[in-house]
Amino acid sequence: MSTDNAHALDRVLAETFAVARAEIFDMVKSIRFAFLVISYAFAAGIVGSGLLWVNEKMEGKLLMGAAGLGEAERTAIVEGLADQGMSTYLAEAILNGDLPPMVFGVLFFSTFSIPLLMLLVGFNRISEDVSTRYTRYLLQRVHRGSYLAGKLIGHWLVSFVAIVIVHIALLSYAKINDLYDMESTIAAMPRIWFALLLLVLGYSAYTTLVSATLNPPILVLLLGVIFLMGIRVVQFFLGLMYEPLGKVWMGSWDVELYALDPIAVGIYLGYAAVFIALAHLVLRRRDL
Amino acid sequence: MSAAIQLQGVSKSYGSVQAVQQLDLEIPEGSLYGLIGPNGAGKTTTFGMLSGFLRPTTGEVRVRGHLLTTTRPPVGHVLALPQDAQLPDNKKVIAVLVHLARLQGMSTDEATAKARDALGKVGLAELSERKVRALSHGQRRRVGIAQTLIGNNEVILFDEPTAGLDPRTALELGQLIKSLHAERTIVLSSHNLAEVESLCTHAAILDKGRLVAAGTMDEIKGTGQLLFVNLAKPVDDADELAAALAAIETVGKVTPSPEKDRFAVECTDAEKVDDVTNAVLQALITSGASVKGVERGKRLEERFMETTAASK
Repeated sequence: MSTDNAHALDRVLAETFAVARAEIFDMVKSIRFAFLVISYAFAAGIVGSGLLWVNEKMEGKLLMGAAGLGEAERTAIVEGLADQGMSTYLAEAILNGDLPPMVFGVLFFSTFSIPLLMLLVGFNRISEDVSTRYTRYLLQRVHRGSYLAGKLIGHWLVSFVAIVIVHIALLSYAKINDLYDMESTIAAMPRIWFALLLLVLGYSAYTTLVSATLNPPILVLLLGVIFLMGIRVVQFFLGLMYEPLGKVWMGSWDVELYALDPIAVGIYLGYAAVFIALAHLVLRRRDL
Repeated sequence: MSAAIQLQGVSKSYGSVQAVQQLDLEIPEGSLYGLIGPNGAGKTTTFGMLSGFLRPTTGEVRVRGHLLTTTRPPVGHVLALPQDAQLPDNKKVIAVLVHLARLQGMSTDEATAKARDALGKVGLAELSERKVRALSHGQRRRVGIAQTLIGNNEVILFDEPTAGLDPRTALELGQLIKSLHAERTIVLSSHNLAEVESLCTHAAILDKGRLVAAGTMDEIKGTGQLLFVNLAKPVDDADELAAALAAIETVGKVTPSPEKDRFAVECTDAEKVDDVTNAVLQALITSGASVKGVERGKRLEERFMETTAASK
């Protein structure tokens, strides 16, 4: 029996790998992938340039951050920020240099584009297969769970790699042109990329869920965007009524995620797990 | 003969519409099974359930003993040509087939070899580098058939395989399907009753979601017990002639056609149908009738019309 289970697991992994591999090749070759890279590079580049301009006007004080502060001052600031409702992890990350001002600024102002761009790249990845019934060719060969996992992994990895490519390109440009002191930025990037891996997982799972649930693809895009934008508005008003409700959507935890605040990490993983489970349930029960 | 596919009490409804109702069917291993019925009879829905695309509302579907559920689809057991599924327009034919083959666990080299072999079998080897969007309807259909030839699946399902094809291509594909039958169980649905009659060893007739007839082609057509003798010209004494034929040993009821140029002869012993045929022919020739031909059993078209009319 255990041999059968091991064989079944091997088969599912092989199927998932085959679907993910094809998905990655298809997405990388698509125009929309290029659009994702260019759009995100544009957004991040504009924000970065703006910060550099402001930093120049402030005679370098903006990007200096907390470099000149003593321990007591740092503690006081962290406590003050915590009293204002900021996560301690985030306040400490900003003050101790794990989240340098330049990185924080670029991510803070450009991250809003990531969910939309990811939705744009991936909205049709399942829904088009379903609406053209191409799934009928695919799902004779792979289990529905493997198909879903392969699609998710493909979207997740391609989106993440696209973002990392943009970061590397912008950092390289800044380094070559010696735009600012990048030591702390470069040191912070592995943590930031790890955080982004989770952020992208959350939105890949979201995209997978809407793509597996709705049809036709244009409806997926439309409702997917409306929800992403609408949830922010709704939770803003909910937050006015009862403060904790203002932080129910994973999108409210982006900044804390960059500081690897365990609550933010848990929220992103939790949302991703729920979205993936729902997508699996929907696809499993659905007539295709 | 064991069952390759079993359906037990299978029903499928879409809201208030019952597409398939309490279907019990066994498709024997190694058979070439025709599934026929008028539009809306539930053929495509039945196909969808056999392929794992659709979930039965009630009942069980087993493929080679493997109970199909949402977590256990017939992956690895069944390959199907779906009726209205599209292939990706923007990809090359060979790339589509290689991708599908790779999903079956093949290496790229093996997948490429199998894909080219399958394309050769359906006569599309020279179009392998063409994009799907550049293919005609018939060529796309053949690519669809080619994808069922990749791998060694024991059961192949063809939903309207020759629909929309020109007669020559349809005939060639019919021959291909027949040749595949040597190694596999094949189920095909078609509106072309002559095609089903010439290709299939077994058939089931569906009407309004219900099974109205099923069995070997001989059983469906009554080949072992029914003869039709066609005359070159009508006879005057058709009733007398019918009575004379009915007197032959193991001949049951004999019915002349209203035009008096055709006799339906029932044989009471299927084992002796050859003897009965000879005796009937001899009696007719002796009486001066000019025999044009003999058919064993009803044409499938007649049986189809009878059974589907009876259920109205």
